[in-house]
Amino acid sequence: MKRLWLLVLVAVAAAAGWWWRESLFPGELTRVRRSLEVLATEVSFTSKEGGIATGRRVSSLVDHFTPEAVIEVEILGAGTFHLNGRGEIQQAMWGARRAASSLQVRFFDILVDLASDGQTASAHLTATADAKGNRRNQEGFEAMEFRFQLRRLDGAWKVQQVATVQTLKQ
Amino acid sequence: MNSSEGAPPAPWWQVIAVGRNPRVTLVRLLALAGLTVLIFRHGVIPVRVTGISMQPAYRDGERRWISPLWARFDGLHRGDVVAIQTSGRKLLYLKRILGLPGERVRIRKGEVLINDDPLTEPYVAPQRAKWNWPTNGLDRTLGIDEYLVVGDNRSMPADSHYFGVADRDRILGKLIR
Repeated sequence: MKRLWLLVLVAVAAAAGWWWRESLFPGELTRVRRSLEVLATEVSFTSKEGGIATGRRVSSLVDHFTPEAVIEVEILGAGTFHLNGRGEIQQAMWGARRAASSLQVRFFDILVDLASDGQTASAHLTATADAKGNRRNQEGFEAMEFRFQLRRLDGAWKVQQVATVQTLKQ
Repeated sequence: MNSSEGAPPAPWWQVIAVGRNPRVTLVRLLALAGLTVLIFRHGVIPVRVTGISMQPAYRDGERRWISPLWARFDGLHRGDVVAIQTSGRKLLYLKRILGLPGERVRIRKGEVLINDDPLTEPYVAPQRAKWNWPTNGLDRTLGIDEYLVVGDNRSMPADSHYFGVADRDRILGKLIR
């Protein structure tokens, strides 16, 4: 009986130890995943946000991208977007804030592949966007898959490329 | 002869927490956990319908079940509503299978043609938009593991409705009616 309790205790301690280690010293996969989750939060905005806060958030948002980042995505019902570099990304973010009163972006099922050199990573995820706007096609989208290419820059993971993954072929 | 004969009875809090025989309780718990994972991963998966793409048959907010096991053993047939997985299982597309592997498919002014024959679709509301697919005007012959999947709500413009060809390995399971 004592052996059984010891086994249970060891299992619980191992689980707690793993959780503690992942929380305090996350591995690279966890760090990539967290940086993408932060990006989704930074892209989102509400109608209550003031002008100064908006400026600060848009400025900090582009820090998540490498200087030569490329975004080439096809959004259902809204068309294709091709953005090249931090400047264009920043302009697009300002445009989104002018066009919609609020936007909530969420990432789900983030699958991360770390390159053997540990300096680049690829993430496959599903995103949802809930937008409130006045014009057609400003409702966001329900679920779309994207592939992110990331690169480690100054110790942090930055997005280098974003592309749409076609769930259904045409 | 009971091995525990003569041993003092377990205190009430222990009986409540881990049962009279903790070893049996642990085995039962592990078996239950394993069975739960097995059932909810391969047997039936609960889903909540969001959006309007499967109206009028399936409405926003409805709760349904998906069965990967049923899809595996019963196979996939025309008219089946299936769940298509994305990068994981948290968000799934619900679509209806219209075209099967090897068939020539096309949508002409909103009407689905399978090997040039119009498909009768009682589940689609009468007001349907005049879609054309593929956009090059030609037929699309489905590959050996490909299925044409489309939502039931055809009232919205084609560019607002996500549909197309799904590979078999993308189809997670069939919707239980």
